[in-house]
Amino acid sequence: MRVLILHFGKLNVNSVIQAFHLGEELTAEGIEVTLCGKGPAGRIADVGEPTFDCITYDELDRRLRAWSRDPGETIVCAWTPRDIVRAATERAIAALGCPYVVHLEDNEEHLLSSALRAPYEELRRLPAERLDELCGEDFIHPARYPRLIERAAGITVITEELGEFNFGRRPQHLARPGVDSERFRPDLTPAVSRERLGLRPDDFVLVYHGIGHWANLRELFSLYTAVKLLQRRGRRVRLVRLGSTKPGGVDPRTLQALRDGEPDLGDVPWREIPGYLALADAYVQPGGPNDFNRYRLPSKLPEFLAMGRPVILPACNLAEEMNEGENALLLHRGDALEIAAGLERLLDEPGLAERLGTGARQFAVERLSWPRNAAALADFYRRRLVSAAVPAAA
Amino acid sequence: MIGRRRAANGAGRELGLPADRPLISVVLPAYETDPRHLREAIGSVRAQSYPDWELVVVDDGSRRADTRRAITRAVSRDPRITARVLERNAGISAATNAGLELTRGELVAFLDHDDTLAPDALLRVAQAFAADDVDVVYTDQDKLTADGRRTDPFLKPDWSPVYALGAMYVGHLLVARRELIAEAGALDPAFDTIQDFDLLLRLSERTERIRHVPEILYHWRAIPGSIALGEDEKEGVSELQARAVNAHLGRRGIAAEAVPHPTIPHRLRLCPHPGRGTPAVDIVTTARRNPGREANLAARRGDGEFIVFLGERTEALGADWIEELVLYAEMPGVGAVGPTLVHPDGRVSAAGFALGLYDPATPVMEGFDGEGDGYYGALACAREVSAVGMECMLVRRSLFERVGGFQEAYSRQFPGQDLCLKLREAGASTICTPVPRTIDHTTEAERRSDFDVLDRALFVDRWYERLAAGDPHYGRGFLRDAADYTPASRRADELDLAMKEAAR
Repeated sequence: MRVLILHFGKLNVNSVIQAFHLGEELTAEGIEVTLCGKGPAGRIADVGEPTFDCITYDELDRRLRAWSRDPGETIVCAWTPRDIVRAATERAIAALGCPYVVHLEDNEEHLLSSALRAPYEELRRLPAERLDELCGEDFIHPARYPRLIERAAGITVITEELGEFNFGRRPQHLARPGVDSERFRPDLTPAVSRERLGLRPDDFVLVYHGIGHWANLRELFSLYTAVKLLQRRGRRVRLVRLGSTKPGGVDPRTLQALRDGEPDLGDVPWREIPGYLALADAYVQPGGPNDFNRYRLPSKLPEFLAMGRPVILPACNLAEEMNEGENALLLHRGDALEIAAGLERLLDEPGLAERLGTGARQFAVERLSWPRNAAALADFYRRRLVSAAVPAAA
Repeated sequence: MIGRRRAANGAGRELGLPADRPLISVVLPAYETDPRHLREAIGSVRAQSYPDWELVVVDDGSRRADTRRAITRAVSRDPRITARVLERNAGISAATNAGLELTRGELVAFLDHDDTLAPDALLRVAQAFAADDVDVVYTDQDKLTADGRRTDPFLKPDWSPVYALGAMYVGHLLVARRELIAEAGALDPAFDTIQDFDLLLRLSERTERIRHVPEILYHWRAIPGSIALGEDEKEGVSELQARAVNAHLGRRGIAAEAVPHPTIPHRLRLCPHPGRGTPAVDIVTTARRNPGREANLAARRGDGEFIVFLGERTEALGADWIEELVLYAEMPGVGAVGPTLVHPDGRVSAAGFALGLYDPATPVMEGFDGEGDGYYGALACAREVSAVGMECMLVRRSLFERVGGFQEAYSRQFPGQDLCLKLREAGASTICTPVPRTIDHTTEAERRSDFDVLDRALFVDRWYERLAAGDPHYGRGFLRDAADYTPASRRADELDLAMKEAAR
């Protein structure tokens, strides 16, 4: 079996990390994997040394021509229905006559609506030509993406809630991500000393990594506000930030004022992330169970859990399998006041941080195993390959 | 909720409506109407993008042959138009009621004989009825000049029952469920001239499900003799308005009397009935540092039915200032009441606060003449606002305790505004009233030194979604850098701009 993963992003974005691990595991199962993303191809080195093939969209058509002479048992994985992926999927099925599966990892309608600051229903009613101008290739196209899903051989979702977007009621598989619990483990030595970052040994340090952009800046705003509130209360809580921050979505001047004084290391190569996470006393995934978080599973969450530190996270999707006070603290509103209250519990309740850290690690090892999750996904692909009718090219 | 959608249903899906679209009956009473204006009014109904309407024209005994001819011609051209001719001029209420008898629609819209509807008016109204469990809908409006120009946009707040007691702000376009209109007794000829306002008051006694569509969908012709031309065009309107409001207050059991504003036409002020009982009110003076925590502590020491919080730099004038605040606080659904604050020189310091994401709490009409009308009576009348500040606010103790008092995390700013939003969440509104006269002695230097970026962040963070949705009481169609009611139209390139930012 051959799996062609068509990814929407550059080959080193957070979401590619999931695709990378999946590719590794499927390859280990004897499946021929090709991951296609935005170039240059060398970016994948930021994530790791792949044991499978990585190409860019510039190379895709040539590769499809080569395969068209011997399509074999190919299945395409459209990693989100965003328009760059949709267009490439159409080309692939036209060339190979193979089935495809759409992978959903976000509420794409919410992302588009947030980016354009307009209700999705309003956007959906715009003429197709106007949507062409507005949406671009990095978002879904409201007039086109439902059809991509309706015609798929199957749908994979990282949370059950994403099944709401399975418009054609196609066969569906819950494809939980995993974590490399050897790379992300509790006993790692920090990549940099606290002193170098201006932190004191007795500071209570949070580390947050990942890009801050229009969709999640509101949540980062909550996290920074919580940290500053605790500092005003005399708590020595600090936030180390990894990853770039793009403007938009929240009051930029206030956000900048909150960020001042907290270490910001900017983009850090993926391979170095575990060492920086090792600086932390706790992790917070800010936000509540809202229209954004109910449908997604931030890729950093499995890593936080595997590091064996206490984790505070929104009370939805993955958290629905967790127990408050045993392996996590859950956020029901997700605002700064609630985050601050959770962190004060960690600081004040003897034994709580240690208990949560142990519980989090155990959860990650048991539930977020890449080999197990990838094997289940491979099985789903095989079944879809056997039973799916090949869709006609659009 | 994004991600869930209604079942597809042909044209209904295109229009964002359910399959069972309601029939909207438009009732148009005409009397001696210039046929050009009448044709425009009828033409604006025929041009509606919403397909399911009927138009009932009532000729209220017009003697002008050209008016009668225009009606006959309209009926002959479109089967959706029917007409009823009254032999004698019966007045606008009686004529409209005669038209109501012919209507078949689930919803009834009122259109005056020389005004026009925007092409999407009925569509937007139908969408509003489809989106929520709603009984009454009103829209924004502007005026049509004699030469056909559109002017004076009136962007209204969401349903504000206290504001409606002082100003006839709902106006046009007004659409209500036919059954509800019948239940309310239809239009009352005793209130001809302001008959739709009187009807609205009676409808509001039967339902709270009154929704505002924030779009200009009605164009009101300003011609001699029309209220639209100027506030003085029709005599005795303020007195009639006061009669309607007093009847309404009486039916609701509110011990207050509406009287015409001493200087501004078509505005009313409420006075407490003499001899009404005065509840126990605790007065808590608030500090500038940690005001929430200090006020919570002080409030716990009292047991009055109401608590008034008064800033150390605030001076309320007049012997009855507390009674003036209690008058509104005792009304059903009211949580907090604060006065318009004025500087010592009489300019407005804050007539409530407008909420928004980038300017989280902006004093409304700052710098305006404190004795003026403001925007359509917003200074002359008491009205709903999203928030008042801690400089002076009166709260019912039981509500204050139910929402947990002031949030103590704020060090200087926002505890008052935060409390108002908590009260809103608990279903209680906030009122800003021009009486009592209240002086804010805070200097500009003190105001600047009170700024605290973390307080601002806490407020934005706690109420982010509400702030992002815009202020329902200030109105969503205004520029938000200063809450001075400067209209802003959504720029055509706004979406492109957002897209470029997202792509960066």
